[in-house]
Amino acid sequence: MLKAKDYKSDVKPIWCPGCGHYSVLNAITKAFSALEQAPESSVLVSGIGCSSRLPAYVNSYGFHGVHGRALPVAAGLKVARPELNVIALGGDGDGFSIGGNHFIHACRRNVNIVYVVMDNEVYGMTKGQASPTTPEHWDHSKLTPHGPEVRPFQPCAIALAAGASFIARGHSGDPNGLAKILYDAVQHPGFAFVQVLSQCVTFCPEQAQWKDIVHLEEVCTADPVAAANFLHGDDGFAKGVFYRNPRPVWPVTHEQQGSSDIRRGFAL
Amino acid sequence: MKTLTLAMTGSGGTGVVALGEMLLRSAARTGLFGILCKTFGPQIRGGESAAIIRFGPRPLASFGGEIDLLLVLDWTNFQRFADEIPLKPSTVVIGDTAAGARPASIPEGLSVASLDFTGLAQKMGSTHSNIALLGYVAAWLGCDSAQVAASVEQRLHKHSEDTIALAQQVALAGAELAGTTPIPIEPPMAEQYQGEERWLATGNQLAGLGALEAGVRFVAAYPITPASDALEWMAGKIESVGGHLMQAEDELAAVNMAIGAGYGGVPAMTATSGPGLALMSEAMGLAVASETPLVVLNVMRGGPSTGIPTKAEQSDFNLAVYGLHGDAPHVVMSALSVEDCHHVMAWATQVASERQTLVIVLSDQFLGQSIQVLAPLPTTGFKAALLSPEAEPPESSQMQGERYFRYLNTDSGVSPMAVPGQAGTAYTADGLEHSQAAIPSPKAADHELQLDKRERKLQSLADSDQWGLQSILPNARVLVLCWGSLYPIALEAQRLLQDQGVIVNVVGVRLLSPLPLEFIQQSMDAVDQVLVVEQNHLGQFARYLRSFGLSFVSYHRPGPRLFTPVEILQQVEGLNRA
Repeated sequence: MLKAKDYKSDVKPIWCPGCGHYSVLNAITKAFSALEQAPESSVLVSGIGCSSRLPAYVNSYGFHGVHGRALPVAAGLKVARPELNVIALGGDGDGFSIGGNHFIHACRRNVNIVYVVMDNEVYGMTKGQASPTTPEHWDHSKLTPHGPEVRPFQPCAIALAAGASFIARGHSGDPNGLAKILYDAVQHPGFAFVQVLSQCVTFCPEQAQWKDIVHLEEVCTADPVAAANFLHGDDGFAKGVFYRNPRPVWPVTHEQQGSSDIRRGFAL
Repeated sequence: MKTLTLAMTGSGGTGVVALGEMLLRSAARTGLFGILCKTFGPQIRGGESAAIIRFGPRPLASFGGEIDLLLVLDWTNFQRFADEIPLKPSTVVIGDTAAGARPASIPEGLSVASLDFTGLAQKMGSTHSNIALLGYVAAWLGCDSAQVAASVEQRLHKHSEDTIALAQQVALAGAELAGTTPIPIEPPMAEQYQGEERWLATGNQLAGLGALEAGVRFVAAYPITPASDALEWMAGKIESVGGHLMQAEDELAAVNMAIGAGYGGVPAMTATSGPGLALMSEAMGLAVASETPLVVLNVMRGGPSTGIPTKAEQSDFNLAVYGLHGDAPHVVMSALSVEDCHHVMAWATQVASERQTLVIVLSDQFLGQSIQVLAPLPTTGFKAALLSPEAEPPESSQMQGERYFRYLNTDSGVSPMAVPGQAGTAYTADGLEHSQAAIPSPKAADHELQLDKRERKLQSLADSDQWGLQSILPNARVLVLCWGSLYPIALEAQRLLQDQGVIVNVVGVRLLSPLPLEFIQQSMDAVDQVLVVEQNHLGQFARYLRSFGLSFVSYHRPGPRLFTPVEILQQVEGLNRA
């Protein structure tokens, strides 16, 4: 059996000291070890941003794409090669802003992939601008000196409304708990969304306090109404699996109709 | 070759395109060849629509120009087609009595007959005057009732048996009317037809066929006119050969889905039109940099933004050749006729796979949506590899020590590509610049080496015998050089010129980038004068050719008015005078 460290590549991460993504990387390799999967059977697909550099650090196949488009790449790959374990990952800007449309449609499409969003409420790679999940009055960015003045995006509630069949939140300060969530997410048949609170101490040093705020909630339900009620009262720092309700995955298998002679229809 | 051109017009919903298709199908059953061009306003449903069919004894891939017979179900908005349905003094016009007032734009002196197709249909309990007109015109073309009935059934196969039977009776009544009130034109004649197999196909369908036959097993789709029907045709077929078609949420998703599948070793494509190609351009650059096989079929239409979305133009050349960010060596091909859509897509599928790159194929609305009668096409022999994790891993010589060099700098420029599932070769495909070992790298040396490699792997393509099609005649002094849908039109101009004793060569360039410069140079060197023709406002192809130091006369104008052979002939005559 391979250990977590066997799933690490020899490429050195570019992340800042104290970045939460190191712990997410650890959680992923722990989950892979627990899943006992051959390294070559997994593919990590990402977009652009600090978190999207993660595939190179894992001893598995990876695809590092363009900003916001990890989910379509992952979905196309999974549909083309269903035997692979496909995990899309990225950050809050990548996933909820430029990639927001893909996020919504991935939830409703329900291709059997896992989507991990490392949410630090900031664009780190472009040096600290507001992201969709940045608090309304966070005024540290030169681009929005009064704060974004926009209500933050609610990833889990939106995932539920859009039809995701597995919704969870983890915290980078708890890699073991996160590894367990990721393990469950991979096992879930269908689109599994995992929001990870992963601090950026470079641009948002106040996030170091998250470890004192997060709280475990044993609220996993298959009832969308109960999940909605919970998520609307959520302070954003609850962690755990909130919703799990498998439904048919795409592509749906149909009885084969018509001939495989694709030329037949051209004849008079 | 004596040919005859019919046009049918009506407001949306009167069924002129359906009429045209059934007429073409019926005539094909008698051995006639033909091509039908659909034209409609951008509203698709409602508004106006028209179908133009040219019939002849041999395969036809272009339109001659003026209309011999105009059939009118409805005069509403007829003037919108003034450019596309050029009438001549001898044009015969037959209209439904219910067609409304004849517009002032119809020249005095034209023979205009009015027949009661609507009344004929109504008498039998049908509202389909187009079917009565079908029976009438088909009878003139020499179709027997069984041929027309079969065409009606094929078109209406989703309707009830009663509906089909009624339509067949209405068509019969139309045929009887032809006996008492014939069309005063000699019909086109089929040549010694022995019942050989015939196909009816659009360029979009044949593009889909070429892709599937060459091994495409994943299609990502986002609808856009006039590319949608290529995707719709494939949606009905790809599952039966073990593939999948996914409808995406937008063009950016579509192209990225195809990239995901291509990275997984499954030959993949998407199809779009101008605005969609623009949206896909960032991801296409990713395919180039990550060396992921990808085919994008771009069915061109008129203008930027929405432009003229339902009609043809060749104005996405610059976008396809130059439209990517950074230095992004990629392949651009053009389809040289309706049937070449099949060939070029199969070739593109193989090239994308074997060279691990992006291939953009340019077709246009005319090629994509015209329906042509043709002899069954042979399979092309092009094949993309379906990469399997069970395959042998890349040779050990391509491994450097323990590490797999995904982007190894080989002589050919093509590096060994492993696919997920293969042990010992795990790597991260990356649009971020990388080393030969696929490790992200900001080093100038890595960037330069990888760019050289990506360009080098395409250069040998320029020597391919697939680079274009040509019609070379002895003693020609003029070359007509073109690309895409202008090729069959230029070929017809060549025949017209030959009848007048003017010998020209015609070359259609299928491989636009990398440019097959030596072949083009040779064809230019063989003549005194060169005319480059294309259908866009800027002369985009001409400007591109000039950047290679070539000199010639350029004739270009925008769409959507179709080019005619006579127009090219006149340009050649102008050259001679000059």
